[in-house]
Amino acid sequence: MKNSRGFSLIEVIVVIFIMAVMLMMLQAAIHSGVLVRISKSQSIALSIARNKLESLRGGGYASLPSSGTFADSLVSALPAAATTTLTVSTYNAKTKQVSVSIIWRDSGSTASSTVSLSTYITETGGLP
Amino acid sequence: MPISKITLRGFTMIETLIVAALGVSMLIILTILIFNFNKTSTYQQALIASSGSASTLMRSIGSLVLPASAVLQAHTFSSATYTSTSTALVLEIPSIDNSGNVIANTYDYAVFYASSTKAYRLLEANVLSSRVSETKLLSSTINTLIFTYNNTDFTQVHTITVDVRTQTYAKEDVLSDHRREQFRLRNF
Repeated sequence: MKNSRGFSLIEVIVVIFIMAVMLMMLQAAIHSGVLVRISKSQSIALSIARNKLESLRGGGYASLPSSGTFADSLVSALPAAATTTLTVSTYNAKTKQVSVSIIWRDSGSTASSTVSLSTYITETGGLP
Repeated sequence: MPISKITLRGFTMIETLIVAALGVSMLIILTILIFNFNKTSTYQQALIASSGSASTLMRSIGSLVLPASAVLQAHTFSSATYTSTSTALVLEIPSIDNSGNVIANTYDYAVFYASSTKAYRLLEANVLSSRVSETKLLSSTINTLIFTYNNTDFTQVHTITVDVRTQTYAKEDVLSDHRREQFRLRNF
């Protein structure tokens, strides 16, 4: 009789608890890796966007390019298939709104990440 | 005495072997897990250090280049004279008071430079300025720090391109990071 007894409830609960804790630790370790990668990519993307806006501001109103994609030497540091988009739209007669966005997807992440910055560039005034 | 016969019997050979095998495999699994956790966290800390310090350095340079009025060819600080080169950047920045207003004809001077793997910012503020004079360590993972100017004549420089490469080691892995940003002097 003694040999055929099963596990007591307490034993089962303890085993499940230990396994759950170990699985959670494993999951947390994997997830934190993804977070670290995303934060690194975010910082690179922000650098690209700031650099682009700075050069557009410096170039001035007259030489604003039309909307489209643009190149940057740091794009290769982002995961493959990262896309850059530049949108130039007319805000009013003497002002244009310029938006820069970078979209990429880190390995291990389920969704794409985006960094976008926007500014206004006016016909008069501007940088030296 | 059947009861004492049951309780006094030892383990069979098979039972002992199974327990030993289970114990050994559990130990191996645990060792691998701990080893991997350790490796992952070391790797991530190094990654954060390299990526974080590249960003910090970029922000810090940007925050002084934007309000600067000129890039100086050379300036004598109380400790030494620094010269603007591709690895050092000397800035003249109009002083500001506590409310952020520019104080006329007074200037703060700053130099950014790298020395082996460390990057520093030395700031010498005017007595009237709200900026604080100090030497600050901005990064200790520098591989290269390169400044490029739009003109070889420093009096004409209004655009500076900063290129930072940082490098850290996580055991056998080399983690490097690269940032490149252009800044234009707003008070040129």
